[in-house]
Amino acid sequence: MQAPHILVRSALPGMAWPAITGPEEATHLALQYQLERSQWLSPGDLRALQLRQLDALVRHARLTVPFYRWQWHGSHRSGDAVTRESFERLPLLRRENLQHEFEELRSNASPAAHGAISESRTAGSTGRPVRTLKTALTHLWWLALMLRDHLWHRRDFDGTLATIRAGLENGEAQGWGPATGMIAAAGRSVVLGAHAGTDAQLEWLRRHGPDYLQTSPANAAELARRSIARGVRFPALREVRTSGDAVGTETRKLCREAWDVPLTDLYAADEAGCIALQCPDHEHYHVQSESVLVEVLDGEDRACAPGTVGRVVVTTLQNFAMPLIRYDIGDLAEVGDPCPCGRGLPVLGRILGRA
Amino acid sequence: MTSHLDLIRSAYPGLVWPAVPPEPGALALALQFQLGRSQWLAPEVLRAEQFRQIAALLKHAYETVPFYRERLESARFRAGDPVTEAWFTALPVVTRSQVRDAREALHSSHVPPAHAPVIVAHTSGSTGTPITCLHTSITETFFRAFNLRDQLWHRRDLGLKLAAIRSDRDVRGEQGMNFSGWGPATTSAYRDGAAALLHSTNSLERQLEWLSEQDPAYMLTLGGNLLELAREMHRRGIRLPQLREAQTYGDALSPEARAECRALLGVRVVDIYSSVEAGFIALQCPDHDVYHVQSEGILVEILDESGRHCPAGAIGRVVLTTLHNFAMPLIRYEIGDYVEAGAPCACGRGLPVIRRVLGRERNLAMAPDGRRFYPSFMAGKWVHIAPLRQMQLVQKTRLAIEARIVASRPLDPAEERALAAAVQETLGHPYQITIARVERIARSPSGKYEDFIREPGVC
Repeated sequence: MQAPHILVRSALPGMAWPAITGPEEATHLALQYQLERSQWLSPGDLRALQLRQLDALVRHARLTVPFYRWQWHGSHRSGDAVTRESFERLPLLRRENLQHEFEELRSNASPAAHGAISESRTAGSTGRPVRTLKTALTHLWWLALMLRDHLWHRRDFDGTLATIRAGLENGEAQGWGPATGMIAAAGRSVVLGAHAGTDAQLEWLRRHGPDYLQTSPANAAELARRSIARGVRFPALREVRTSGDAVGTETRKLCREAWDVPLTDLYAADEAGCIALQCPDHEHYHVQSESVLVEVLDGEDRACAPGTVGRVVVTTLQNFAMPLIRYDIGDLAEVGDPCPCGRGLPVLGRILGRA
Repeated sequence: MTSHLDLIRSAYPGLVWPAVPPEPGALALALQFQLGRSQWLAPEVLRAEQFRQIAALLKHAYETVPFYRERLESARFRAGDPVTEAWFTALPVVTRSQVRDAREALHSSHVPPAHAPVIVAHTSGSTGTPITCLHTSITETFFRAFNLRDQLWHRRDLGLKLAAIRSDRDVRGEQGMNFSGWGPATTSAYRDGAAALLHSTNSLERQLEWLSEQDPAYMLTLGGNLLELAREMHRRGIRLPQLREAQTYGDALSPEARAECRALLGVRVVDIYSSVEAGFIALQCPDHDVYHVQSEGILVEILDESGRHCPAGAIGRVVLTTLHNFAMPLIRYEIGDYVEAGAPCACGRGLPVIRRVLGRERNLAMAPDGRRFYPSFMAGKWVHIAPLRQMQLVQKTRLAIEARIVASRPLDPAEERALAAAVQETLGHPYQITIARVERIARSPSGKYEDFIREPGVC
């Protein structure tokens, strides 16, 4: 099946189709152009390209990030090209390092072209905050992968997207936000803070009749259970999109039973951005290798074989303000077999959440 | 890696892959993103999008181009109304002579500033009707987009060397010119390989020498010129060891000539159907020997003699509408080419199919009963009859054809009779054939070879 037709917003009057976009939108689509192709590269080609980016990142980290300079002392020489083997010998970065050595993990020379640096902070399950730095470029990548997710799952941008999530302000807007800002679509988005009770959420959903619902897996399950109990249906609803926690098969089943819609999950972390997206054709996940390198390691820090569960270790490829290199993010995931969809992006079978 | 992803330029230090290209490259890839998807649209969706763009074009033409104002008024055009295909295809066709005579009346009085600068181009007038046309930065942008699509469709390795022998570039002398990239279509977004350019007026001898010096991975030249080069290379045992593919443009290469080039050179031959007025009209399918109309830039109608759309398999004249030229819109312009309409392509692309590009009206033969047909022949297969180097057929009357031949010696009467019989048999009609031995067969002013010419007045 071919990709659905999407209309790109034209910046020039009279140029209705194909669109001539403004520079910012062009950058987004230029990335999407590459992502559409790179997903089909063979695992070997993907790894080779990743290694080139990794080499640039490791050099930058070695030169400009004090933490790595000290930690890698003796294990990586600045002149050496990074190989898969030399990379895998680098020590792991722990959550505690982020918590205690934030200043040492900052690059003292983040390239100006990567844009403004901002700090983000998560409370973390242990209560001790984890702080990381982002750049305009890492934000661009976040948006690119969100758009990829929309395109992969063939969402109709003319539909209504409802978001229920803790910490968000209630609101309503035209369009689906910056990830789809370059697409000429008539859709709108509505947002509800998750502090509302389940019945109030159902009533809110009934009022807006969304095509898509995005929320946490736990909230999706709760809404589905309540819908089944009360016999509430949302005839326009096409898909539930979740992120934030591990999704069990039970939650997927509940969404089917309650609303007869599929659940699509994505695996992201505040520190690392988007790590894996659900395959358009299967319930497992594809690592977003263009943006992160993911290793799944066993108790002895060896790579796990397909079918086994291990610790997720990520390397962010575009973050030059605070590179996370071999960062043990604290999640468990199952390594998957190559996907029959044909994409060369590595597969994670299940994301099991915090170790 | 033929995905080219390793060659994309980066605007961000440290960002090697995937690279985010600088502005002109980003726009180029943004267009490729759209073209990458639109090629798979269903024909009716493509059509609907084309007419959305045509509505904007007609509004502009109605408001700013005197030539069209009147025509559109008579057709009761109202700006803002949707344009239907039925209404549009009832608009009168514009001929080459009308374009030539209309001159400034075809120019927009208000080219939108974002389309600046306006560029003047001239057609060679190989059929006796030279015309001047205007292009804009937007038409150039699309020109480059289709050029890049061609490179990507055919999975060329952009990092390798390209050598072009062209008739339409301002490069003189025997040395040609060297460039660090293939041109703005690829260079804006990719770290492409070197290119070299030579004018096609150089002798075959010099062209061969130059090609050997360049040792390219890809070569591009006029169809007829490629055939001459291929034969000469074969005759002299010259090889281009790095050559992966030969691209042709300009004169229509018959399937037989294309097959001959392929056999002699040992590489794929990929053709481009383009024109000065309209840019890229159709590109060869990456998977089949047919052409796909570049519907995102142009609407192509293939019409029979009574102005009806030709079904697949029928030969008709090309009438085209350029979708983005707001300086000199061409709306239902009869360019003078004849093509064979094709059936939908097995590749799955929704872009309409042209099976063969047959050349100009004057390259069609007329049968004794007045029907016109495309004469397909290969002088090469008659070398066992006579020592032919080249041949051109010129139809003088409905019944008489002159075979102009370049041969290493005069033909004896038996050879002449055998050749005449072979020509009659190939054309399928008992024409009266006269043989004329000539020193050389002249190319048209645009550098094209024509295998068959019907003289004016044969009708």
